[in-house]
Amino acid sequence: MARRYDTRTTIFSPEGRLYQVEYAMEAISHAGTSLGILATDGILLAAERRNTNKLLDEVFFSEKIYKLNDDMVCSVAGITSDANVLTNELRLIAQRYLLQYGESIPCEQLVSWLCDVKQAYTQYGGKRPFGVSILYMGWDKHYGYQLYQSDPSGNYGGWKATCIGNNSAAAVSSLKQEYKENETTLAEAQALAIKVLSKTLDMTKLTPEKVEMATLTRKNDKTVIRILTSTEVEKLIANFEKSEAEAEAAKKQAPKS
Amino acid sequence: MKVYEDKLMKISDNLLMGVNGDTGDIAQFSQFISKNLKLYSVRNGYQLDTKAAVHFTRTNMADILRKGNPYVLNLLLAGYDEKEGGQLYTMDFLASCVRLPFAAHGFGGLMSVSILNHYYKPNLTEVEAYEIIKLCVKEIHRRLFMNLPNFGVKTVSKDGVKTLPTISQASFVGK
Repeated sequence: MARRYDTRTTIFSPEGRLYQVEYAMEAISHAGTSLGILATDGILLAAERRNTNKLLDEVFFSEKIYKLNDDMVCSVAGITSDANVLTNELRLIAQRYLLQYGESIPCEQLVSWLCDVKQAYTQYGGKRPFGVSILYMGWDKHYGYQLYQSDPSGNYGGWKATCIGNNSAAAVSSLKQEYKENETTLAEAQALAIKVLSKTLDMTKLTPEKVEMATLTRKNDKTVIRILTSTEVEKLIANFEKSEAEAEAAKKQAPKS
Repeated sequence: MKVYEDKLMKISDNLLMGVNGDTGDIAQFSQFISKNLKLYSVRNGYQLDTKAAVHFTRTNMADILRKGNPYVLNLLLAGYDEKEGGQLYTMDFLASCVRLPFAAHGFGGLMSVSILNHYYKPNLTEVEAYEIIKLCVKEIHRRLFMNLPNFGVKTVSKDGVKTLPTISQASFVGK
């Protein structure tokens, strides 16, 4: 019954829904997970790498994490080609602002601008919405470290920790339990990210090829953006597995005493 | 009428712009800048700092210059931020902009620059700065071929934009 109202992207259904937007979000829920966590001394984005085929030539350093300008990085979930168009647009918006005002664009303004673009595709033009959700992490002088999420409808929100893509609901509830506001440091956030990712990934075991992680911090009045090397990721995974094993051992011990 | 014209425009709470040029251009450009800065602050909940506002002004002037119908204006921009303190920028009609400790435009300016250069030192108080400007005006009254009787004076500081007493012929009576 809903079929009659969803072939045109820009019209409402009788129940007041925009089906194309909802279908876009459905597409994203099948895509590789991306999560972001805001820590007291920085922010991180972590993502599941799906293209782990050995034949793939290592052209791009990162599959899902993109630098937008000196102070902002984003991670995407959804249709990769749509994501490329949007990240290109984000970079353009950021540079246009830099040209006009001589300083880096404040985080929320960049997110807001792009979301206005995304919204336009849900209202006019007859084109389908972008099948991408984006997580943004950045720093600006007005509000410090910030984490934002935007989706195909053009809505955005500021978050302390969130997740998009496959199994994101489970990840978000996991983060809700474990994340401690104003108390989680970047190191703790990294460990938490690995823990949450291991639960959401389809595969049984986490390996460095399947995970990419980037951090954003400030040092000497400048933003430092780092994509972790596979050695560092491997170490985080090893630490996680060790703590899991210890927790298992503790559980086995408990009933005896 | 011209002798009472106020050429020092308040662009935002912490930015003052002194403009030299045609009256129409002055009104058009200063309003364009100030309304855009206001829109920015209403949209985002915070203001552009002086450096960014000056950059914005310069970029617009440079773009319009290259579109064939330029504003012929010389500007002095004075701003105050908490972080940087007071700043002065000078901009000419070709959109070249630079930050300076003191600056002047116009025929009177030609005469004033050397006086400012002689008496300027860092960390002047507001009273000392006012006296130096008075010295410039004194010379303008004495030596310049044009009659420029009145000089309006304004300051911008952490308390915002304030108007100081106008310097005119009467300011020098009895000195």
